[in-house]
Amino acid sequence: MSSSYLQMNVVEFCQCTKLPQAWLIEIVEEGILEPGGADPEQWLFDMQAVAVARRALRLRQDLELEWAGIALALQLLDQLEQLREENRQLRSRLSRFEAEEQD
Amino acid sequence: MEFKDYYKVLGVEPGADDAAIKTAYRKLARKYHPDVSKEKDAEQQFKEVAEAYEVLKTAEKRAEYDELRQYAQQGRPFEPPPGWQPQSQGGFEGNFGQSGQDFSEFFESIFGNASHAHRGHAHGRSHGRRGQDVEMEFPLLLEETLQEQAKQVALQIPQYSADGQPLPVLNKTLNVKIPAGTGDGERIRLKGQGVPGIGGAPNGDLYLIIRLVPHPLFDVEAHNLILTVPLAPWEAALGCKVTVPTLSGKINLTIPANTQSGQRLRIKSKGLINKLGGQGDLYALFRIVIPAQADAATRELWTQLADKAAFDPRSEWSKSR
Repeated sequence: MSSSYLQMNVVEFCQCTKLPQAWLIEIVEEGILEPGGADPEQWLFDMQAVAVARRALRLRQDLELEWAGIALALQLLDQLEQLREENRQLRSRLSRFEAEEQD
Repeated sequence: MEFKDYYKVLGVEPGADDAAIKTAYRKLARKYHPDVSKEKDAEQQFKEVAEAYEVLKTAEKRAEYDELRQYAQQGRPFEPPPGWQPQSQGGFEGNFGQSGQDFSEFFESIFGNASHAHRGHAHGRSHGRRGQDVEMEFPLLLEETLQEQAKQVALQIPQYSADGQPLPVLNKTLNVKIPAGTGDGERIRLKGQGVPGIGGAPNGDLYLIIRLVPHPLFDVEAHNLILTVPLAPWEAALGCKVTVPTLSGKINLTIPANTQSGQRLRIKSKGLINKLGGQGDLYALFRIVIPAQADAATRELWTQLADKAAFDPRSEWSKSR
């Protein structure tokens, strides 16, 4: 899901997320963020990316993880979130089909 | 103020070595970190754990804490000894991004105020401090995703004076445009509408996180919608015309004869729209319902049907045996 109608360049993105630029490059290399564009001068980030970067930063500080571990954690958390959402939707659909239990 | 037993918070013995403290912290952090955990009160729990680790991980702070711990008495309110001065200052730099930043009153009474120390440092460099970003969930009805919406957002923003003291909250009403096709979990950034900056530094931003409100009739499946349509047995058997709701008004639907429960009918381009201008479909999902009660005449008709229709609904079972 992207919100391409509002984007930031590298400078603004680093300011906004308080992420040192060297770390940003590491994060992109690890595939945690995919800003598009060949080199950092052309990178553009959307609002989703701000949330991802902040989350990655918190995980690094608080759980003392390496970027590779963070990338894996974020991917699994994303999958978990998708499954939870799918589960919620299926339950909602099921509830429309199931009648009240009878004695 | 109550004395906090940081060893208890981490679940370690007071004599535990650094490795044991680190292991205990990491284990609890993975359990309670708000980015990872769905535990109840995860954020509060994590704050406690982070604060305990902040103190116990550095020899200097731990020694100070241990010293005070001797004075603290079970069940008695805690006061730092008269003339107590924190020794281990300057331990707060480089803490950017950390979730457990705001420490308890107890912590600050021993080690001083982390955020004040930080602010003082920023002033020393003769520039101010950018205001914090604010995140806020914003509910949106499915109907409202079909067209761009002009909405008003009312919110309260905390403010701080130049020396870091809290000021009365700022009540704001903002006009926001929410683009058509905005989906659940998407973020809209309102630049400069977060917490005001200090000392001429820029304001923080406001992020609206869109939450689609569950609809009483429609279920969402990617960009498609599902509408459960109840049918009487004779409607399903004979076919019929039914008026059904969509997100944009009612339409007439022709139900073919011999429609089964659980069968779907696709109604093209009546689903949710995406930002590229495409639109998902609406699926009518049929569910056959039986009247809760039947009078004698109706029962007689059912009986006739039962006698005449040669139908075994469980024929599958005999095949599989």
